[in-house]
Amino acid sequence: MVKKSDKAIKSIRQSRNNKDEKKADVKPISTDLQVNLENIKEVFTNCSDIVFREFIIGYQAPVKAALIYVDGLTDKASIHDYILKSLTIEARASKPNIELNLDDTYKWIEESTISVAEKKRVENLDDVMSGFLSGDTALLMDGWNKALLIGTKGWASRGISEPDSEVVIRGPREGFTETVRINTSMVRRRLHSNKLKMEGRKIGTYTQTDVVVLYMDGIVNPKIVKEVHKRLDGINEVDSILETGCIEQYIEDHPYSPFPQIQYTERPDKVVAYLLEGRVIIMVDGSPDCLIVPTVFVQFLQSPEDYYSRILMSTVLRWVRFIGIFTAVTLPALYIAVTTFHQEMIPTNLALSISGAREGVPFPALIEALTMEISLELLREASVRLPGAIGSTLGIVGALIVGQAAVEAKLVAPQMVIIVALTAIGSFTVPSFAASIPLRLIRFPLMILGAIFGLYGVMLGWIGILVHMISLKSFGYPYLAPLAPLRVSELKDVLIRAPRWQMMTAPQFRKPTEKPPKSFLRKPYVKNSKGAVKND
Amino acid sequence: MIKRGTISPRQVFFILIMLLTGIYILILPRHMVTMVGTDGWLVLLVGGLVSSLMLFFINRISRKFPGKTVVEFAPVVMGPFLGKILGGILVVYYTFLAAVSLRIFAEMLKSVLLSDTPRWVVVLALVALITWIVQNGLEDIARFTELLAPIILLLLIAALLGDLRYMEAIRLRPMFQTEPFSLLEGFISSLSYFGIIIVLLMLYPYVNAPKKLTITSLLALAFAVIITMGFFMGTVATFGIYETGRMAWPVIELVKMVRVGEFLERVESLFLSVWLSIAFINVSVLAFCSVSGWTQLINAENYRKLTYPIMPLPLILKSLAQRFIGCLRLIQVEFYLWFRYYANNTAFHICS
Repeated sequence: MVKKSDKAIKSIRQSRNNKDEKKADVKPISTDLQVNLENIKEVFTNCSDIVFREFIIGYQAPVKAALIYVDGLTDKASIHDYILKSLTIEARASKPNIELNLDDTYKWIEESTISVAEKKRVENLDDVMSGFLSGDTALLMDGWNKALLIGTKGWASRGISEPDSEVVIRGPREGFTETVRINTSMVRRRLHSNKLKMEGRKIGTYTQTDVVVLYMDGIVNPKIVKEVHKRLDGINEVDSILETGCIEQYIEDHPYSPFPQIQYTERPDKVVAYLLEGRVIIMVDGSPDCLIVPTVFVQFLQSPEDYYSRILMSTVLRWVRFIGIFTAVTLPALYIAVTTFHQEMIPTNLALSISGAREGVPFPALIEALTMEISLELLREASVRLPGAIGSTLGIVGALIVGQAAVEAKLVAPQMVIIVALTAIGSFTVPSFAASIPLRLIRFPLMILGAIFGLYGVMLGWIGILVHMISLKSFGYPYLAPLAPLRVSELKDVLIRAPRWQMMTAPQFRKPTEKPPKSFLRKPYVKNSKGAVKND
Repeated sequence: MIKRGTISPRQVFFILIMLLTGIYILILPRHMVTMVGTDGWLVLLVGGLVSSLMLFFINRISRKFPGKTVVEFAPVVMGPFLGKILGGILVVYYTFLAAVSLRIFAEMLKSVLLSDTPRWVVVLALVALITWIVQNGLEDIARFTELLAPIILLLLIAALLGDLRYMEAIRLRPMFQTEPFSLLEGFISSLSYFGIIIVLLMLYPYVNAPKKLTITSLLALAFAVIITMGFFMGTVATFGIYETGRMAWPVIELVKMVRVGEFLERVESLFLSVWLSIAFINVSVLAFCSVSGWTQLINAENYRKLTYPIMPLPLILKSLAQRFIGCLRLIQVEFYLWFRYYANNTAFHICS
């Protein structure tokens, strides 16, 4: 641990040093427009998408000026109407009420001619370049050693649509898109609070990807925010960030564990709920997923729909998912263990029918199960790669025809087909795709253990899994949190889904000083309804 | 070094219950029956009461030296030489207990479930897992216990209740017919059975709210006494004293009779999984105590490095006894050792 943190500190120091060096290297803006343009053009040789537009402002004492923008990243109409038009035509028409002092002219141009909402003054060429590369328009003027970045971002983006991987029956259908600004706006729209903070930063030496860290000030534990920033600082020197997955791999605690320690989601309503629980959200430009930290395992078993639908139903669904997970992980191993070692546990009639069906099957139960499970994985992978329409055909061919034929050819017993189908169905009940992957992986070692040691082996395997899961941490928080260490008050969102009015006590992620909101054990408006009865 | 003050009183509660109702319960009814017949429950009850006194002492003395384990504060009380010797005895005792627990479990597994699998394969797999969790630290052991203990306890109680229909109260008679000397013998044996609570001496500095521990540990002891008595009386009421005295694993036999509905019989394999988790918890707690005790004895910094040389110790110790009878002799040696320790401990309390 100590070594690791030393390394982290070193890398942070290095990155800081690099930043200082960069500052020393920064090119100032020259007062000569042509020099500036040549400098920029030299950097951007062979970049056909960068547009340089030179023009003249005013006619009495004309000022040479140039606009630089990236074609395709900018909103052309606003450049035409609100920058070029106002600087060329309208600036000539209006008479400045000042003396013709050059400095004042620039001030006048900056403050009263450009009719675009966003603008920023920058003082060196590097800022100019990174500005127009991210979609703004840079305005350089002759004789002025500063530049203006005018907000004209606008590019083609996908419309808001329903996230395919997190489908709900009840609840909003909106999902995030690939533009980080739209995503933050979707969160802000649901959370009109001045406590919602969004801290932006750029990561990736080449990609300069926008990364936004969202949290609720006053609810979040400041330590978590600090930790997130620390870990993000550590990856400043990375070449590229293309997706949230890249960041996830850099900042998660145990990258070699099969269990995901950071959850991702495409649903703004889920993000808002987690923000209010005191968690930190990381959004990355170019990815519709955003990361939720810290994450505990039970989170993967909760679907946003649980909180929208009625109490009893969502509690039952929770337990269906528990059973689903248990089935997906253990059922084939249990079947192997029981049929190979503990035949006495099977009721006599069932044992007879199993052995009858297995007659003629040449393989031991383990080989039979492994073959079926591997072919199931093959089917699954193949159907993900294929386009939708063909994918369903594959399902029919794979599941129905191959399964039927395998049974008839006496390659596998029909019971095994049932078991394998059940494991697949069980793993589909997990709401999060990321969490169903480790379940698929764990099944195989468990099956082998079951074949070697019987039930003892299966139990050993489970103990191993639990030992591993207990040792995991996500941003300092124990991964199996409300279960181990046990927090009885939080079990009401794990074993059951308690009524909303009982779920007002704060989860562990909140700031320690923050007083939890009042928890009331009765439905809040019950008192009023008594009054209503009187009126009747 | 693991951080002090990281486990909660509730976790200690579950650890103590798991230790007290742990592996020894498998052979306890036979052991008691051969010594005191049907009066085992009385002996257990008195043993529990006396142990609660000892628990009181343990709490008192540990609270006097906050943040220190017994191995660390014994030299302060008794002088460096005697203190080290007492610490040494204790640490050897923990190691020994771990070995015996492992041995009993392996023996049971071999005779009931995996008769053809070599014993060392079975134990090696378990010891590997235990080494892993001991490396991860006491915090993880405590969490693991907390996660599984409620389920285990529920299953144990369910097993007892499930066998109610076979029990007959008449088999518990005659009562109070045992000779005083055998009663004393049984009493010592039950004392040493509950004597495993001295593990608390090693866990004390790791608890984050030591003030609550007196009540918590007493509750755990009471709970354990009730469960132990339940199993003793359940076995005797089901099989009678003569049968019980002849059975190798009376509790397993009891569990074998559980039926779920009319179709699911012979669920003892499931209960063996329960005892596997109990064995896992017991041995890992004891191994942790032993390893951290050795570390503190030689004033080493990090106990993790010591785990690998020490973990094979229980393995070697447990293979000292070649056959089942040898295993029983080991337990007797252990009881004897414990008794010696107990005398020592009382002297220790008087000293302080």
